[in-house]
Amino acid sequence: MAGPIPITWWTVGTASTLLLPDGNDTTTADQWLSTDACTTATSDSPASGYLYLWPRFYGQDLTPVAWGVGQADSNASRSGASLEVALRGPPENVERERARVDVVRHDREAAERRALELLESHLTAEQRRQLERLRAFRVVARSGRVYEIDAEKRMHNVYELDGQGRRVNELCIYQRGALPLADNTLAQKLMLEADEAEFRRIANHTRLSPAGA
Amino acid sequence: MQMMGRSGHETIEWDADDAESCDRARAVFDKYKADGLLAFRDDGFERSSLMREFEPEAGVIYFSPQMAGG
Repeated sequence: MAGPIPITWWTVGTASTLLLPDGNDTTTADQWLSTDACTTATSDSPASGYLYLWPRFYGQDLTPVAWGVGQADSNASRSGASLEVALRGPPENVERERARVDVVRHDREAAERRALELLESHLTAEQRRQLERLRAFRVVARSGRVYEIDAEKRMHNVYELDGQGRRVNELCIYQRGALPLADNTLAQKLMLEADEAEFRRIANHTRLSPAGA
Repeated sequence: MQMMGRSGHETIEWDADDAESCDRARAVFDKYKADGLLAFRDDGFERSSLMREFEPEAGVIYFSPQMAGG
């Protein structure tokens, strides 16, 4: 009998279109498992996530039969989107994993709530208003540059603004490890404030064309 | 000190006037730094700085895993 499958950060999800390794679509599975913390997964390269996930299940008593990016959002780096894996196996094993996933999901949601409270405690009143209204907030670095952090995404979510408040540069930088999303957001904010030069050195930059420019 | 972790942050408190609690906090700080974590000193809204050594007078210290380019 195989030992416990090391699922530590999965959440239950659904998807309508998944890709089989041979490229065929399928919707047949006993259970979907998905992750919102797989930073290797992007809409451009789901295979990297697939390769990451597969060894966790292969040869166990549940077999992955398909994989893909959740339909809720085509960008797996966005909070709520996910890389999904369909599992096939005996019903009792599926139920066992569902129960395990429920516990993990509960713990993760609690961690996310605590992380959001920590983030909000660090924001000014204006930033909290921005966060509530836009799910993003602005940070003024010591250089005077103004940045906007999209709090709903883990990556590709920090923008340098021009004098008119338009996004002109995307800086992609993230916190290593599968920490709550709000912790990642807070780390980005702290790094911008503490060492903007290092933040910019680490981040990958993408120039943006402001709408109407 | 607030240590960001997978299960949410852990809080470690100390009293700047209590040498024993400062020593305990310093030991934790040194361990986290040795583990490669980033230490941010919170100097008030919109003001943070990176720390290399434990400073008892620091109000709040946040520990975070290293950052990487995506």
